[in-house]
Amino acid sequence: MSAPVVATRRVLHPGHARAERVVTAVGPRARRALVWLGEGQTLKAALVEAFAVFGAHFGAFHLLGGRLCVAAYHTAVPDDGSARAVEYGAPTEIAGGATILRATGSFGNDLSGAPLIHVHGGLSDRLGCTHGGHMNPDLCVIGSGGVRAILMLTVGFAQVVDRETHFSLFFPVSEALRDEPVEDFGDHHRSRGERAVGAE
Amino acid sequence: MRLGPNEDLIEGLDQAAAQLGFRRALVRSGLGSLTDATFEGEAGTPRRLHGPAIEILAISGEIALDDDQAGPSAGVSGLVGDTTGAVWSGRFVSGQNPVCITVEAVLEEILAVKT
Repeated sequence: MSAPVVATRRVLHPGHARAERVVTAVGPRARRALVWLGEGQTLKAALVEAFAVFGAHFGAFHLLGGRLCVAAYHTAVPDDGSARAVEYGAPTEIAGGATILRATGSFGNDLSGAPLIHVHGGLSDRLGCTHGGHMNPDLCVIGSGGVRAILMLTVGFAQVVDRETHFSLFFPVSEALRDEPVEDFGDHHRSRGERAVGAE
Repeated sequence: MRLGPNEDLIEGLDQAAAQLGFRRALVRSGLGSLTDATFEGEAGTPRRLHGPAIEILAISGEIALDDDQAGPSAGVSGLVGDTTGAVWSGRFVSGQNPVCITVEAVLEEILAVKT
């Protein structure tokens, strides 16, 4: 018996769809590093420092476990007053902090070239209830015992203004190619190992 | 890799692997958002979480573009958060997990599979 067919919904975005729907970059040799993120730092500060130790400007990471003494995340919902398909609301702070069940993130440069962290995670509060969403790395603070993280180096992301969604989003970039000249491809992105930079 | 809006999560991962020339790959990490999320359920009935936006918190699994040569793959499973922050998990159904805003993921090529 075949599986039931369920219709999927599409989201209408304010801008024209990009020509390239699946953008890739290649890191020729994967490198990883297992680190502890130190107590008392914000999640962003600790991750930026950890990547800097390895000279990495781009990367991805998992948070394998540990405690946040301040834990805050966002969820997104449609907003009739916005041109964008969804908007992120104010941060939800988990009372008493949280234990990290699993979190995944991307690391790279924002539009100005400064370090940027994008991280989503599942968190457990002091009663054992789970929460999940877009973690706020500027508000989350690492608690006692630190947070264990595995960093993936050599491939990562750089922020680009996305005319389709009207968000500034991460697109893949390879550390191995980061010194090559950056061209402006407008809404078209090169794939397969070439730096994906576009828009404004 | 990055998947654009309205692309299917699983089909997009397959397409990225194909673009990169990977016949087999591990999904090392992934985050982003889905319009709705659909997991495999009991007796073949999918479980649907309605968004938008459903946040992908973590994904892992295996991409296989060579099922006939090395057996079936484990598929791709994940942890998601709904619009209230509640957490759900399961194995994603191909073709039924449209991207809402974006998905960022890291794939790693697998060169040999022991059957």
